[in-house]
Parts: sequence; structure tokens; C-alpha cells
Amino acid sequence: MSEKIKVTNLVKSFGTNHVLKGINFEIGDNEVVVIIGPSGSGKSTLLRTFNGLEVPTSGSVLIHGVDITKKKVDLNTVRRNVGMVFQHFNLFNNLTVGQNVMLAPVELQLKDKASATKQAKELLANVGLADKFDAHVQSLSGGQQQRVAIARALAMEPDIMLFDEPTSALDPEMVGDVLDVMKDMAKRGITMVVVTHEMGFAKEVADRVVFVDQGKIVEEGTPEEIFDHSKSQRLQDFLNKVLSV
Amino acid sequence: MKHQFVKALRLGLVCLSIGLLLVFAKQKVQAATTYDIATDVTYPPFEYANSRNKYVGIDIDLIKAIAKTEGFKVRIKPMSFNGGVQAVESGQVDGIIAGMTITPARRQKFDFGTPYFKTGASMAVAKNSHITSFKQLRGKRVALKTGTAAADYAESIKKKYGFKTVTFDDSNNMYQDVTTGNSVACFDDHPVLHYAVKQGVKIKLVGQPATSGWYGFAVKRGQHAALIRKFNAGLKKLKGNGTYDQIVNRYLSSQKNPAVRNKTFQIATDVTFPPFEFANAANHYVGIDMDLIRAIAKDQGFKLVLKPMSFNGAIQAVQSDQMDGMIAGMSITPERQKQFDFSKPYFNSGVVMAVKSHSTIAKLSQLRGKKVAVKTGTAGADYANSIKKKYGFKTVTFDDSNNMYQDVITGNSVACFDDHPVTKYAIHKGTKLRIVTKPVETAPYGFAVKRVHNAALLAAFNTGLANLEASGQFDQIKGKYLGAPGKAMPVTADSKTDNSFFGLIKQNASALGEGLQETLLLSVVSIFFATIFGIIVGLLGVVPIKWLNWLSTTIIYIFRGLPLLVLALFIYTGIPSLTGEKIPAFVAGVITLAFNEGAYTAAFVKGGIAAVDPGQMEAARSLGLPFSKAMRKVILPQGLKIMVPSFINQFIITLKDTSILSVIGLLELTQTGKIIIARNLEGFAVWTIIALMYLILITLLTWLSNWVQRRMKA
Repeated sequence: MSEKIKVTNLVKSFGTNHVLKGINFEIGDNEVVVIIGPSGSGKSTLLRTFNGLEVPTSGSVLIHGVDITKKKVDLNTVRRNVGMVFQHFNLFNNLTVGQNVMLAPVELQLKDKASATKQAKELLANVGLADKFDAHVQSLSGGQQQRVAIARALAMEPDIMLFDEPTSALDPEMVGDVLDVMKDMAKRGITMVVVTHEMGFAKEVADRVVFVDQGKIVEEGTPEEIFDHSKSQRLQDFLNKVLSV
Repeated sequence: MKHQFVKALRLGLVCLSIGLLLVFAKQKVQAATTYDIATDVTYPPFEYANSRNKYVGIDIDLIKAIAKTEGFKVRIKPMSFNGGVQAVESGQVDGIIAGMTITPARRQKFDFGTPYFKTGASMAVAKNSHITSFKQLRGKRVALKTGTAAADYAESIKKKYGFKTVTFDDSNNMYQDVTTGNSVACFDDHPVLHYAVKQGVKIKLVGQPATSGWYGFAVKRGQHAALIRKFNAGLKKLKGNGTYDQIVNRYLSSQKNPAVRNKTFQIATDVTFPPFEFANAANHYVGIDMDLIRAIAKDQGFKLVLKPMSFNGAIQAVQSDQMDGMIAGMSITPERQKQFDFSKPYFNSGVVMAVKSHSTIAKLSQLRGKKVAVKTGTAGADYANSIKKKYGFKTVTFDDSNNMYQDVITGNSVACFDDHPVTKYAIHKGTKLRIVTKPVETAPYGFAVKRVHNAALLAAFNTGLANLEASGQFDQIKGKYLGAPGKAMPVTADSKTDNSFFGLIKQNASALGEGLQETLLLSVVSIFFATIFGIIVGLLGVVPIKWLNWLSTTIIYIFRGLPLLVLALFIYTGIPSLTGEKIPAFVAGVITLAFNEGAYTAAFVKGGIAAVDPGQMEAARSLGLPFSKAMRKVILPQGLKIMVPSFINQFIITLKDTSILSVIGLLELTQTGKIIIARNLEGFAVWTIIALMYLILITLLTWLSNWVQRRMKA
């Protein structure tokens, strides 16, 4: 078994609103999976179950073979290995860029301050923000903030990275910078699950594309299978809408 | 039959022999050591039957103790004084001990033992009598007791002072003749009158004893020399070993009261009820009540901590055991007697109606449809409420006298009802009111302790009061504040004090300074604890644990829901009732504010944290940070910034709310103001000073907070 994430019969309801209606899904080592689907289809909710931000109503979520829906599992330990990047970046507003990146490794005593600083500087350089170490979060543009958020997640040296619509809140001219960083990560063989509307990114980078609609996985396959040989009417309708824009 | 007869005969013989034995035995004892001693039927404290009908008293205890020491027996024969004298003369009894003054005339017929008690003839009059000298007795009737030396003395001066006498066989009837007013005065031996006053007979001593003499034990002249010898020897021994003093003190304890000696009692009083209690120019508590309780404490040898608080506050403090007792011009009413044990009444006041100086209202009937001001808990309030239906007026209630007077002066109310001396005193001090009715008899004032509590204190008060009444000291105290009966009140030195605005500040600088300090201390300590309490409860409201959230909500609900005044009274008077432990007013005050202000703080702490973008928490948790670390490093620093203005606001509110704690008697700024006004009745000027002081404090606090806020932003 080499799958890093294995989801079985996943159901999530908010009261009478059934968001996920039985999802079965797995991700292997070094795989880049892109989840697409219309708004409200449940794809973000699905992603958030992978690090315990959402607790499923039923079913299981295995990360490295550990079912994180079980109560006795220490989510804090699981989350150290699962990085998350949010649509709205969620940088810590009370801290500088450098402090944002260093906070978790230092607070969790994984690194001393000096080596955390060194690592942070390298990570910021990798995302093209070497000069922003001491800058205040509010002084950065959206694209810069999202790249800091990626560096912050990478500081924990996770072996899975989750992206929740990382470019949806960005001005169009910022999107490229962020996608470049993500492509670079994919090349380096980091396991990634990306919820996005960026079909170009999916085509270029994804090993597998999953189409979610109305709480179910309707189709999944290689980018070619999904984009060029889609079987279901729903996927075709969705692609027509997205690509015609 | 025969058999039965023998049986009866035998029984008869047995009875007869037992009877003979008893007679012999009795005669043997009698012959050896028993004396019959005559005494008076009732001459307390020398001889009287106590509640179990046993004869006690100084004479009785003394003769019994002597008999014991000298190895003889006595049989006490109570009879009237005259009867006793005659019984000795006729030889029916062996001696007499009956508070019998040694006189030359009596020496003709009796042999006396060593004089054993100093006495003298004194005059007593009814408690409310104006008679102060023999001269005022002309043409009046005076009550005497037969055979007493005091009666002889009265008879000897009756011509000179032109009074008539009437004679009784026992003391009680004589006293009654005076208290009912049939006679204007009575003469009796000083210690006897003194004791009667102590026991609550409604008479008072006038002046010092007119004569001086000694009591002696008497036998028929020329007979019983042996008995006299034994008496003298025994008396000498008893004086030597302290038994004599013990006996005398048992009945005439002028010694300190051992039940309360050196104990400290906390006594509550009203802040503003002149002339009974008020702070004088030196901010020292004085007044009839204050002087009285101090004098009693001195007389009885206990220590005193006086706590001025509002009348109602005092009532609750005593009920909840925070205070041991209260003296505050408190009328003895049946309702209060359910909650309190009262001392013997010490003052009869009477309620009067007062109106504005130029008001045309002079009768109760003119009050129809009008508003009348009263003070909570006073006899005046009770009286007004009892007649308000009949005369068709409404009442409005105030917590202190000054506010009540102001209501009448400003015309909001047309009249007020209060105790006669209180109103008189206020008018004397320049309050623009006029008394229009005669005093109406109301319940007298008493000192109160919680029911069935502090019995020793109450007893000490009664004993002390009786002593002060007997010695005339209580009259002196009353005279000091009310003037001599019938005379105008003494003009106090107050007229020369400077009551201008700055004069008032100067005069009261030290009191105001202390009030300010107390307010500051109370504010700082309360803000400190309220902030800690508030942050903790606020955090409990946001942790991801359901029952802690519920707890937080409940705490906020309760302490924010209770009026601060109610909470203060509940904590100050309620907690001791539950735990039996007193809490100092300051601690109660801090707890009150910490809970109340803390609840508000908790609410905005919760709100401040909720106002931080939830994405911040999600991001922090996604990195693997535990809740507490995420809270401390990410959420709180952002939340606190949002909360700063609320904190400043809450500090200012806390500072102002300390004023409410004046109800539990804390001498902070507001209470200080009340006390100063109670003395000088300069309400407007003093409240202006107090208001300015609060404004200055709040300005300083605001500056400080803004400075902190700027530093936090930087």
C-alpha cells in the first residue's frame, strides 16, 4: 500500500444539507491530484477532511494508514505532516513575514530559532520573496501573501500539501507567480491535492484529475481522459462553462 | 381481729419513736447553733425573693457567709422592716439584717455589729420629670418607705421645703407612686435607688446623697453579745478574703462586666442622623448614640469599632452577623423584634411634621393629594405610612436625612416626617424648615443585636445604660446635644466656620483625601481582579469544550444580570449568613466589583476573540499548533487590540461604580461626601466637589489608557 490518503464511504452533512454523499478516493506517493467541480459541489469540504478541519459524518479518512476521524488520534501530530494553503491566505496579521514562517517550527520545538530563521529565509527565497523577511503582512500584495502562506506550510516539511483554491482570491496578474511556485513543487515530487478552477494548471501538472459534483465523484482520470474524453454529460457541461470564459 | 390490733399498735409505736427522734434531733441542733434572723420582705439589692422565690441579696448572702465561716446556722425570717425591728425587741428573733442604717436613736435599743455598708439618703424622680432640686418639691407629694433612714431624713426637711409625704410599706409601691405621678419624688437609700434604676424602674436619681450613714447588723441591746462577736469576726474574715467584695459585686457590679471585658465589638450606625450620629468638624463620629455607646463600652470595659453605614445597610450587616450590634436611633418596633433583640429603651423621641419655612401647611389635613418625604427605616416613615391613607398623601423615601430635607426645601415634597430631636437639630443648623406639629408618641429607641446573638453585649449595654442613667451621665450626654429641657439649644461654634466653596475644600481636605485614596485603592484592586476574572471567563467561552462554554455564559448571565447594588448587599450580607464568617467591607466590595465588572469584561473578551477572522485559527491549527498555543500566539494578540477601547471603558465604569459600595459602609469618596453633608448640610457644594474629583480621576485614567493604547499600536 503506497497510498498517502485513502478515503472510504465519506459522508458529510450540515444538518439536512448533504454535502458529501459517499466519496471513495485515494492518493499515492508523489502524486499530484487536482479536484475540479462547480461551486458548492463539496470539493473544498472534501479537502478539509484530509487534515481534520472538517469532521466527516461517517466514513473514514486514512492518512498514512491512520484513520484521523477516530477520536483518540492526535490531530496536531497528523497536521504537522499535512500542509494547507487557504484561498484567503490566512497569514497571521500580528506577525511579520519571517515570524509567520517560523512560528510553528519554533513553537513546536522542531527547530531552534537560528535554524528556523535560516530555513525561513531559504523558503522565502524559493518563492521569490527573500527581501520580505521583516515586512508586515498587511504591506504585501495578495500574490505575495499566498506565496508566504506556501512557505509557511513548507516550513513544517510536510509530506502532503493541500491547496484550497489558492488563486481564486488573487488579481489575475498575481495568479502566475503562485502557480509557478506550485508547479515547481510538483516537479520536486511533493504529494499535492489541489482544489482549483485553473484548468491550465490541471492539464499541465496533474497526474490525475477528479471531477466532483453534488457531493459525489462523477469522473476521475488523467488530464487527457478528463478534458478530452469526458464521458458524463455533467463534466462536459461543466467544462464548457469553465473553458468558454 | 386481735392479730390486726397488735399490728396497728406496733405500727403506732414505730411512728411515735421516729417522731420523738426527729423532735430530739431538731432540738439538739437548734440548741447548738441556729439563730433566727429577721430581714425585710423586699429591699433589693439587700434582700428580696428571686425568680425561684429564694431569698437572696447582699444582706442575705452576707449573713449566710458569716454563719458558714463562724460555724453557726441561721434561719432567715422575712417580715416587714417594722415588724422585724419589733421582733428583735420582743425577742422573737435573735437579730436583724435589713439594710438598717445605724442611727443614735436605734443605738438606744439595739447593739450593732461593725458597719458593713455605706449608704445615704437620696431623692429620685420619674424619668421624664423636670425636678432637679428639693426647692421644686414645694406643695408636692413625696413617697417614702416606712422605717428607712431616708424616710427620717425626708421627714426632717419636709417643713423647710414645704412638701407632703406619703408612706409605703414596700419599695415597689413607693416607686409606682412616683412613676404614676401621684408623688413627684421618693426618698430612699442611695444603693437601693441605684439598683432600682439598674433594674429598669422608670425613675432617676437627682443629685448626690443628702446624708451619709452605714448599715449595721442589730441585736437586742445587752443580749446576744456572742452573736455580735461572731458577726464581727466573720465580717472581718470575709473582707479579708475577698468574699465580701464578691457578694457586693454580685448585686451592685460597678466593676467591669467580665462577660464582655476587653472584647471588641463592631457596632454599626447610621452616617447621617444628627444629633444621634454624625461626623463633627474633625470628622470624628459624635452624637447622642455615639457618646452613649462609648460611655457604655468604657463602663463595661469592652472595646468598640464603630462603622457608619446607611441605616438599612446597618440593619442588614447586623442580621448577617457582619456587625455585632447597631445603635442608630432605631425604634423598637414589633417587626424588628422578630429579627433583633433590643436593649431597654434609651430614648423617647416622638415624630414631628416639618414644612418649608414659608409654607402655609400647618395641619395633616392639608396634605391631601400632596407628596411627603420620609427617610427609610425611621419612626417618621412608619408614622407617615400609617396615616397616609387617612390623610390621602403620597410618600417618597430617601436614604438620608439631608436628601429628605432638600426635597421639602426645593418644593418636590410639601412636608417631611422625622424624629423631633433630629428635625430640631437640622433647623438649628440652618435647614430652612419649620416644625408644625407636636411630637407624636412613637416607639422608643433601642440598641439592637441579632436575635439570640450577642446576649452578653446586650446585657452589658443594659447594665451600662442603667449605670449611666443612675449616675446622671446619660443626662449630660443628652444635654450636650439637645440642650437642657425647656431651654433653647446651645449655639454651636459652627457659625464661624467658612462654608464657601474653597472653605469647604480646605475644611474637609483630609476627609476628602482619605475618601479619594479609598476610591483609588478600591478601583485599582477591583480592576486588577475584574480583568483577570473577565479574561478567564471570556476564554472559557471560546475553548472548544461545550460545558466550559456553558459555564462561561452562565457566569456572565448571572453577574451581568444582577444590579451592582444587589450584588454588593448579597455578598456583604449573604455570604456571612451562609458561611458564618465575617468578610471585611473592602473585601466584599472588591469581590462584588470583580464579579460584576469581570462579567462585562468576559463578554467583550469573548466578543473580541470572536471578532478575529476564524481563518487565523484554522491556519494556526493546520500547522499542527495546539489550541492553547494558537490562542496565545495568534488569536489573543489580535483580539486584545480589538478589546482595548472596551477595557478602557470598563476601567472608567469600574471607578465610577465604586461609589455604589458606599452602601456597605466603605468610606470611599461618595460615602465621605454623604458624611460631610450630614454634618454641614451643604449638599450642593459638597456634591460639586465630589463630582469634580471623580471627573479629574476619570480624566487621568483616560489619559493613562490612551497612552497605553498608543504604545500598544506602535
